[in-house]
Amino acid sequence: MTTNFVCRTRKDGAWLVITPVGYLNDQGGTAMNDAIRNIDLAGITTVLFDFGECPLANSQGIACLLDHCDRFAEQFQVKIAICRLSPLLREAFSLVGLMDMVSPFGTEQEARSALDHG
Amino acid sequence: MADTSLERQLLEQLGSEKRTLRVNAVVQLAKTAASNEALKALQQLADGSDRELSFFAAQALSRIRARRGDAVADEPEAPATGNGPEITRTRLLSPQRAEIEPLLSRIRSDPAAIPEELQPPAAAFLGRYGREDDVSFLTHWLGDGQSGLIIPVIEAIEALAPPALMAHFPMLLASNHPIVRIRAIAALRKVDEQEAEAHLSELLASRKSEERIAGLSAAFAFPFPRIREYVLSILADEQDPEVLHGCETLLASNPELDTALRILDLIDTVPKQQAARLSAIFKEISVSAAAAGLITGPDAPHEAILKLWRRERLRKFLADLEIQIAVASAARREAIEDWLAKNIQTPDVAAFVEKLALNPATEEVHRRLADFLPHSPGQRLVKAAIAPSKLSEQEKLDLLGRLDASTWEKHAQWVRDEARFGSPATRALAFRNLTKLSRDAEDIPLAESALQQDEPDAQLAAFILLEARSPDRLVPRLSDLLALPDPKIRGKAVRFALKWDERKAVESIEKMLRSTDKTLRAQAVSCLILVPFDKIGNILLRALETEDHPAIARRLIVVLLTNPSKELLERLDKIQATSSPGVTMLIAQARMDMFDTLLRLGVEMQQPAASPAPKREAVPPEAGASAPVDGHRPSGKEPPAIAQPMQREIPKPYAVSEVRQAIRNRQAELRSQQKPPETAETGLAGLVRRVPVSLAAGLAVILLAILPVLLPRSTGTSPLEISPKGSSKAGRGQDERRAEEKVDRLTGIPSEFRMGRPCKLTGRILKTIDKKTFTFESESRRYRCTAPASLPMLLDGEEIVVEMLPYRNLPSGLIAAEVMKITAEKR
Repeated sequence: MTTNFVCRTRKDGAWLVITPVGYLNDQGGTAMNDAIRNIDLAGITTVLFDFGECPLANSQGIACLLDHCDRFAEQFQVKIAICRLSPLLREAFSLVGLMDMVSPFGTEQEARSALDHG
Repeated sequence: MADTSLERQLLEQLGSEKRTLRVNAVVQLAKTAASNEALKALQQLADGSDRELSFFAAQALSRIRARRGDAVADEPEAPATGNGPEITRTRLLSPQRAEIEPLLSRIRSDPAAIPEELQPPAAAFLGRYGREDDVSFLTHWLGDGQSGLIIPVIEAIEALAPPALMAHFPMLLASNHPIVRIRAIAALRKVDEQEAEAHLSELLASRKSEERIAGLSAAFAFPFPRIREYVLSILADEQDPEVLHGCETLLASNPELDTALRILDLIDTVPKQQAARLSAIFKEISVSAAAAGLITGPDAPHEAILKLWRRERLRKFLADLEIQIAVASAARREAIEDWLAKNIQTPDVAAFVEKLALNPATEEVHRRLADFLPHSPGQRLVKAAIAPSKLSEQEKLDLLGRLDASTWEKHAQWVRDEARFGSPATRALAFRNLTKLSRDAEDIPLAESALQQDEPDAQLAAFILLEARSPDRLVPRLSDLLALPDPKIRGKAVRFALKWDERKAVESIEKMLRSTDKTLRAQAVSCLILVPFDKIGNILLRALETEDHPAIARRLIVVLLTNPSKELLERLDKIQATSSPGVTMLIAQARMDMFDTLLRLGVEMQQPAASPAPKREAVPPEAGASAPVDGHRPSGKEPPAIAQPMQREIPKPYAVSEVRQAIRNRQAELRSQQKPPETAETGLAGLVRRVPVSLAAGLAVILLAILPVLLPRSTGTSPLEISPKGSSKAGRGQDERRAEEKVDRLTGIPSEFRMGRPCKLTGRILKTIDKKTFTFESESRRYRCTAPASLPMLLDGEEIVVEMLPYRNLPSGLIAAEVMKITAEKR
């Protein structure tokens, strides 16, 4: 199955925004690992996952995402936010407890106004 | 004036935007109406340009007039000729006794000469007066099954020779006209009720409200106990007022106390707006239950049923509620909390809320409701009070947050005390410090002990400590950890178990999935979503076949939907009926969702519809399979609820899986025809960028339009011939193909006829048949064009350009085509 998954990342002040694009499956998970693993998190207080361009994630993709969230929370104690989730992803993430680890928002803007001023 | 409120309601439905409802209203008026107002409304429709409605209205008029004993109006434009009476619609629908035989002779002498517009009334006439061998030409009038006007043809064949319909069921059941599908389902029910119910559940699960409405009208013919489950499943989320009204009518027509009680169950678990809709339905059902003598007494019917519900159903409802809270959406959870707060003074509800504190998945709800409880348990405060340190809670947390290697030795014992006796927050933080800073063997039993206590944050921190320092200590506890209700610990446990021993982990989860305990099954599914799908696909499908709780079935489906594949969809297709109609509906919706996802992923979904059907292997019953024992449900390996033959079974041509494939082929073909050719970007990446791509295409069109002005003429090159920037190999290939055919350069659609491919043809309208259909001539070919929605006013003989998809040669010599766009021809 062709997916052309890419994982874009950008730092914006104390924020790290991670944007997976495409189907987050086994290969997508590997691509996500490659994109995130070596990012220097010094100065980062909030990590935002923007799922607006990733409507689907499979078992391995979700497991990979969970690992990253665990790492961010346990090793770096950063806040984790998530935005623009498709209804199916929301259900799947709830199922594995991911929604209990992160703060969900409609958009990046909403996340910023809630977490920067909250 | 309309004679009854029902008639008034039907007359209002004639103005509905939904075609199915309008047709249904006409059909119902034919059976019940007798007023002048109804006759007037029907006459207007009969005289209208919508061929379908016009025919059904004319048929209704003839029935109502016959019932009233009105004389049939003469038709001045259609006098009797030397060959007998001229064939007209009115004459066919309301023939004089003396006209019947001559009309029959004329039709039979040359059935092919009956004009297309007279075929429906002729079929209705033959249905009443014809004989079995008339079916030989009636079946030709079924065409491709894509017009509502074949309903009288289906009815006539069913009346004269029902077996003749068998060969046409696949085509009729795959029709894109809901009224054709429900008529076919009604006919199929007499032959194969189980398969007919499967088709009905597909309609009821449809995303198109017209199809759901059609399904509800067909549902009346099926046994109510089965249908009720489908309808109750629809009610939880349905918002379309006309579909809700259809549900209400169906439920109120079969009044049962249990139905009313089940709706009360639903009302308390859905968001407020939906609860208001369901309350109205509940009241209607209560009234009809009272009218049927099912409830008596001085109270209003709905009050009496509410009392009954409080008395008999509360405990059962509460037991189910705990599972629902764990899996509910935010809106639904809020509705449940509101209801619990409202009823918290009831002893059963108060006890239930207290119980929620023991389950980490529902602990949050307990915390929010604790203030409303008649008395507070206060257990946590007691535990905090016996902590050894004198520091305040916040001071302890601050100190634990500041600890590092340099201060560790000084505080190590205090941290261990906090890990043992602290509040949940300090315990969790203490264990994190132990993981980070300590290497003492004393920590291991401390963490093992914390794992067994019911404090999720501390459990999680203890788990992390053991995973880092002594993972072998976790292994014997994995089964228990996988069954923990807290998703965070469970998720950790699953990932650990998979790394440690994948096979044992899967076995352990599968065992949980076969439990009779619903909570355990729900948690098993949450574990499975993290397991590589190739290891658990079969387990999930087997579980889905036997699962009867819709919330758990939905969890199973979420796992399936996140791992879509063509093979999985094929296997999902084979799950026909489960023990719960509610689950059957969820599966039907899941099939549609997965099909759409696969199309979006760019998976080729078309399969030869008429090819020899793939053989389906029945599941052989295992020796010794018996009733559930040891608290375990039957696994999917055991015989399914519906007995299946031992030998290989060839699916019936009208089987829902076969018909579904035909419908999918049509959808896939349409999508592939409408989709611009994807080149470098295919699949989902293309999908998620489609909006920007469309925007870019729009800009490109505008640019192309203004380029002649912008570019200097001296270049000698038409701007339209400039290669796109960065043109690729694929782009050149497209140019080569374009060179071979005449192509509209803006849309990329060829301007020559191509069967089964989009084309843009210039020609003239021969005749407008109805708001969506017209015949059209272009370069000596004639087309019967159908649009998906009402067309602008078209004049016979008008020159137009039609973007269409020709798809079939009709027996009449016309080519059937779907219209995508019409523009006036520029002169």
